Amino acid sequence: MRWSTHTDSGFDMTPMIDVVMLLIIFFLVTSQFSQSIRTPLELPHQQGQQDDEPHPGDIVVDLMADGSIRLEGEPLSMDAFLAMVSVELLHGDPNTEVLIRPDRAGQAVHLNQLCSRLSKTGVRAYRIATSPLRRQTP
Amino acid sequence: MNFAKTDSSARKSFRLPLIGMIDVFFLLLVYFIVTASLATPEDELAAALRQQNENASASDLQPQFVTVHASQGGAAYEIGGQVLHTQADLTALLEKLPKEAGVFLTVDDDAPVWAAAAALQACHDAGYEKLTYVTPK
Repeated sequence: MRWSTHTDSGFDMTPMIDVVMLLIIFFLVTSQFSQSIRTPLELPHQQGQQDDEPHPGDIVVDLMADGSIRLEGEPLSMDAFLAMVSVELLHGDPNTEVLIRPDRAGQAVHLNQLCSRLSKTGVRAYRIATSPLRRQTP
Repeated sequence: MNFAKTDSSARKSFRLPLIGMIDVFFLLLVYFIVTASLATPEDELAAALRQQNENASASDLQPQFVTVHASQGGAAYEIGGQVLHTQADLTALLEKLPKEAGVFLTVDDDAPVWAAAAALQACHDAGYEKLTYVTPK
């Protein structure tokens, strides 16, 4: 009888746990989405540096096989992209790096052109995204 | 009869809230399924940028020069006059060379992008910390 009275008048934890779990899951899922919104690309199959250092301020650009570039999935002209990078270097962080996500099937001429123009803009280092799924076999 | 009723209600109060617990476990299961399929693993390879017409500094006395060429649908890696056809061979050769001055990497325009990444990976695997990607003028 005592237990029954306690259950009726006590604070019901179940919905609160539900809500808390939903909030936790929401934040965890949205943090995962920040990486998953990157355009699906066939990246070069390499292990990478595996340093696990986050680079939150970097500009991420997709370099398609035909040489076109995309920013957050949206096509962008090279000039517009470089203008954005130079604004970031001037008014933001001067040590901003660019993470290039190239299509592995493309030719290096596009990578060379992009790197060359980035270098002229003032970018001193870049990183290339790789997919560590399996080793490249020529 | 009265005694039996009291016993039954007391037993009820001890039951675990199974529905809430199932909700939570189900949500956890959904979360792990979603994150496992969405988070495609990616890694990175870093390199400094430099143009061919830039003057060499005093620290650039004896860097290794690696050039990536296109070769019969694949790629070849040239270093010190030697032409290598696999990434493993390039890594093995680079491991034997001095690393203090770093390595300069040049990629021919007609070489594939994956070969550029393979050369970068070979340099990193060989232990080079100063890695410079030299772009054409």
